[in-house]
Amino acid sequence: MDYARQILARSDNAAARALSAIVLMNFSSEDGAWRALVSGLRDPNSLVSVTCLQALSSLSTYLPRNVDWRPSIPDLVPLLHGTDLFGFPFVLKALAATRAAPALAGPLLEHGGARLVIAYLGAGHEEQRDLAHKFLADLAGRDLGSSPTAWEDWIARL
Amino acid sequence: MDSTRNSGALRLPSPDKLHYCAIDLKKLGFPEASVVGYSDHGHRNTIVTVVEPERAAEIRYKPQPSAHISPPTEWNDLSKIAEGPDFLGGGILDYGRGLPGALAERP
Repeated sequence: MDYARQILARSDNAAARALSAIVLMNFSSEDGAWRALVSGLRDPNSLVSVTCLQALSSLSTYLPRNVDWRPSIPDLVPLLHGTDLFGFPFVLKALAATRAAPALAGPLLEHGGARLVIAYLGAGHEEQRDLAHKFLADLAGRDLGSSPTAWEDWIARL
Repeated sequence: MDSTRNSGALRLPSPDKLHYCAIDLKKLGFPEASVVGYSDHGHRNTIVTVVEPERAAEIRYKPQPSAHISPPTEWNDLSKIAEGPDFLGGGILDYGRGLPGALAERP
């Protein structure tokens, strides 16, 4: 797994980086594999970021487990601010599937980190609303309902 | 951002010719954009998400990696797949289903 992580993070070959994302799917029991895939969403090459997006979605669907995301805060903050908007719903899906810890709420949602999440909560499409709702409920450790206002009040008090 | 006013940046014959795709939205000045379509009871819907230009500094991709690291020879067969035209055709999304410990059904 370490070699695949090294290639995904450092190789100048985009095809090799995309390939390493698939290899990492075989290590879903390791937090490091999930973190590497999330980091790969910020890759400058879209082949790599889309591969990571699909890999994350697949693991979130079929192999959900708890993951310690604290080391990924430097990747998660720009992603929640809108870096790779195609990957944004899959970040929410992965964090919800892996039961992101309430301790992450402040670092991830303060300073504008919740803007897109709140927008999703108020979206017309049910899937977007549900992704945002589940993500926020996990971070809060409780369910404040589907109204964006209640969640905005909670985030303001973080 | 006033997309009508700025549609000139795309050299469109008229503003109503604007087709909302992420590449065009970026040409209009949005630093990040996604356009995703879905069907709902026979209706085609589109979700457009953008980051406003004044928040461009919040978009932070990683720099282009520069290390020359060769994949192990054991990956050779996989490499051919990754370089093929159907690499992102959907197989990755189902790959997790076949891995040990995978949930039999989608939750």
